[in-house]
Amino acid sequence: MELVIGGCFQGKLAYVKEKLAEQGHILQEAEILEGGEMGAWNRETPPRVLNALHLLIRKYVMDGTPEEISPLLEGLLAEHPDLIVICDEVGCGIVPIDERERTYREIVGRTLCGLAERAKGMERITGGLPVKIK
Amino acid sequence: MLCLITGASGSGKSEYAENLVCRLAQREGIHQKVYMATMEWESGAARERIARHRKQRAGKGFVTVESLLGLRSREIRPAAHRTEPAVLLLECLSSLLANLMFSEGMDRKAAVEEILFQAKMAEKLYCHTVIVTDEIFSDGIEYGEDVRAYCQGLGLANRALAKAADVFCEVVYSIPLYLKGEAVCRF
Repeated sequence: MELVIGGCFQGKLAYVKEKLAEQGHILQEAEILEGGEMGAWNRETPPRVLNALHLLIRKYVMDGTPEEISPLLEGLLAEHPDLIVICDEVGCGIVPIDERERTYREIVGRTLCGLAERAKGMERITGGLPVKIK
Repeated sequence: MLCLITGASGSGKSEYAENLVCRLAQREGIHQKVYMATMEWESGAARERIARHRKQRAGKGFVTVESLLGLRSREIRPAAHRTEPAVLLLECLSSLLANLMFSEGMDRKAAVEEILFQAKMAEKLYCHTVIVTDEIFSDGIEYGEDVRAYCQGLGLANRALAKAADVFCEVVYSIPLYLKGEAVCRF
């Protein structure tokens, strides 16, 4: 598993597509799991990318079921150990007064700490360019 | 040595800072590790966070001192330990600044000067000082005047401390990214 993080609108998915293309793999839409659209996940094609993990986490936190996030991710990674996980960095602001907003940021952070530890590599994308973190 | 550690919320910066303090103390045979907590614990959210930090610190041998105004409000080295060399972990700059500005009514400039003064004092009192701060600068929200002044104050304090520090490090989801002083942390 590899991690690609960064602020919003920095070209994270575009970077991943380019990187895979350099390795000779043209990423297909069907190989992307969108974190915010779990209902539309295609289970027939093996996924290469989990995009916008923060939106998946946000959905569970806002639904009041954050305990379901970890088993879901573990299952996904067990099945697809080479997945590239893309996630927005959302924790660089004033701590919000709203409890769920706070929990959301906290869980995105903790989830990424766990993933970063296991990841083969982690890159942060700023202005479309990667900085190697791990 | 003065080390400034920053990172997003939930980034693992506290744990990294604790471990850095433990490693520094161990390397130099220093027995006293002082954890100075500046966070107001009144609200439920702060209580949860404080409970988590306490659990995380347990067994690492820290003496905890609660001091909302940092080194200003009291002699932060417990009397019994004052003669022994010690390492200080101050957590965190963002709550210290909020307390100085909003509880003590200091303006931004005075509060930042106070923080820099405290850092200098800490360097005299302790063998090493590790300060945890926060990255609160990229949420794209336009806040009101008070919060804006606070954010600017933290930005100024971070910049001044980063300049004075031997180590300045952003913890990115538990992985340290050194902006300064990587070599002295590799041991």
